Amino acid sequence: MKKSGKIFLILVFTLCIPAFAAACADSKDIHEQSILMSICLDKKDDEIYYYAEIANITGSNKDEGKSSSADRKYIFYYSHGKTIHEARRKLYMQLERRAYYGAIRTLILTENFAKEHLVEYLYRLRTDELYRKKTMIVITTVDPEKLFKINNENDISVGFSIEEMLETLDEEGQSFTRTTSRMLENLSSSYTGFLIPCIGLRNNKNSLVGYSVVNGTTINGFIPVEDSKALVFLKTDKPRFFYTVPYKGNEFTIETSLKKRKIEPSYEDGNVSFDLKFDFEAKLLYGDKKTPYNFDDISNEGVTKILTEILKNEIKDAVLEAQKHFKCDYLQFDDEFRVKFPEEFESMDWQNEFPEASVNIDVKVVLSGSWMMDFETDVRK
Amino acid sequence: MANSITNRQIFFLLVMTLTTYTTIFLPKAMAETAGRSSMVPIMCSSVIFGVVSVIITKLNNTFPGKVFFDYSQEIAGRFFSYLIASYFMLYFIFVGVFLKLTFVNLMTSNFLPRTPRYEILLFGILLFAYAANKGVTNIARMFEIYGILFVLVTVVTCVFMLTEGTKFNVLPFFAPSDIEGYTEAMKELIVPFGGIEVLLIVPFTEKNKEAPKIAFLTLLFIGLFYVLIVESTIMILGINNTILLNDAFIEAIKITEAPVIERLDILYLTFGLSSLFCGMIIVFTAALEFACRIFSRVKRHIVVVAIGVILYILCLLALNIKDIEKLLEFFSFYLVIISSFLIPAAAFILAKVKKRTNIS
Repeated sequence: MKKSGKIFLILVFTLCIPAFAAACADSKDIHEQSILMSICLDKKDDEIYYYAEIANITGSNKDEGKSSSADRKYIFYYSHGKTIHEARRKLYMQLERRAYYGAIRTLILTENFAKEHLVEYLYRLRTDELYRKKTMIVITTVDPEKLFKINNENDISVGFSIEEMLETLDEEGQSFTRTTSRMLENLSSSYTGFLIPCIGLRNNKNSLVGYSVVNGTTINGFIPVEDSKALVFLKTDKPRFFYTVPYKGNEFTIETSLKKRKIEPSYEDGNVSFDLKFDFEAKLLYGDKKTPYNFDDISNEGVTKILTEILKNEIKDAVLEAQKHFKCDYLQFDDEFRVKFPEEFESMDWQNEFPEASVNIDVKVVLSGSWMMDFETDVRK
Repeated sequence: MANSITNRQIFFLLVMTLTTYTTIFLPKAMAETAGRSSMVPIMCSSVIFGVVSVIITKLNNTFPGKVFFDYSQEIAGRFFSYLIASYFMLYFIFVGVFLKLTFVNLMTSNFLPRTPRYEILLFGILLFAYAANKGVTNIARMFEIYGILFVLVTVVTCVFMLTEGTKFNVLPFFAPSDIEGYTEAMKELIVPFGGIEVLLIVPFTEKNKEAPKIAFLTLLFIGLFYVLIVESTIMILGINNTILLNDAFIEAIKITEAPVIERLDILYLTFGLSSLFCGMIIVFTAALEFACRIFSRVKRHIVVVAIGVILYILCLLALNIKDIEKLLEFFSFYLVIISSFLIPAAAFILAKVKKRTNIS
């Protein structure tokens, strides 16, 4: 290599060293950061309360000023102030190390907080480049201090526990989750209506207790998880629930899975209507009486008819609840209508149109026995 | 021949140069103008620029073994050739400043919020200067390797995004109300499809006979690639979020879950952003090649250092000017039309006229 080339290379590498070193301004060892696992925001007495669950990665820590459970895997802190940033600033004053927001599993908002500050906080999350963008958002009906204390006593991370629980329920077709980006998109659209999972405590354990209804920019209702089966059928792709169907003195337990759902909007003479078609696959699992059941074609037809009616009524009630009780399209029928009638949707006020839309429900159930059981036999020895 | 490139390298040279900054800003620009019907203006633009690429490659094929500066002397005379070369040198320095500011802002806002911007800039310019010093043939070879990784990682990332996204965010693919935004969208697409002019610093040989066809197909591929990026981003973020975010594609990647890969954004930072690095390298190289021909008596490495210093100073000055990126974007629009289309088209027509005159 020529001498000039070598000098050039040496110059380049010498100048690279400070450049590399400078890039380390962003590097921080893991033990030098306070890793937040979940954040909870509450509003009480006109003040914002800011709770943070931090991973205790440095081990035992029994300094004063922390919660009494500071030797556990997770430590929780809280602060309060007139505004969100004031409460956050006060929390920073308690932390020994820089807060790291890139690992937050769950963002918990109390109903009181969400009613007034849902938009503000979600927009803050969107703008903050340090925040974990896959963070799950939930509402809670429990006092956050109680929620964190109980979990802390059990040495459980609130953030991880809620995230994993909701993901499992979603995978199992028992519930549904909404990504933060989808909530933000909904909040930025001309019409806003969606549901946020609501978390509570059951037997001192975190549990999904229902769904909070977001209408516009505030929360205006709650649907308990017990009444949400049809909602799950309307909103998720592979829901699966068990039903008990009484037939000729026997109570049959049937596993019901949704195979296909079709929502067909139409618009005629200024009237919005939807045709909802559901195809279910049902499996007879067992009855509460002694076998044999002699579950022949006539029995199959009878049970199918009862189950179809149950499902149809549940779905009808779920749609009516959205239309008449909450007057909020958290079922996302607006998306279906907008895709088919984009021009018409632009010119209408969906808040007024949705409650008046007519809905026709068609339910088909195909009932069969499970492969390993023969309930048709009438033989007993 | 040592100073030549293959047709495959032309493909990757075009892909890496054109996609430089586009992946970051295109989803927002398209969502804002053409909405959910973005694929129509993107594919129309890819066909138009496909024709432009055919003009440039045919021009290069007319003068085998020569670069634009050399054959422009035959077409337009010595004075005009120096004038055009000076224009291109300044143009590529301008584009270099624009890209480096984008690069610095992207790194600061997404990955290195506490690192001083002048340090990122210094590191970047040193790297690009070193690569540019190696010449266009070596760079084309490097682009071939980076290009494969870039296209592969970006396509795989987009496939994950498509599978995870919400279909309602992109539907309907065509809405009559979006048509009025097509003109604005086509204007926004001029800069993303600009960059074909880097072929002017590449000498073509006998093995580049098929280059016009390859270049046209490459532009169609780039069009489809842009459609994939825009649609997958909108599917993840939704149209309103995409409009609000300047770096929508990266934000969408941050949200996407991929099996095994916990941090898809870091994977994209490693491979996906290689197009941004490659773009800055080729722009530096183009400015260097024109400068070396204008100042033919000055040694190449001195010109490299001089351009590097000029770029660094200009970037530092630009960092302190409010809304500089908007200003640069505004000028880029006209400069790309002049550099990608008007000058090559004029040279092509002149070359054809001269050829006919000589024959007759």
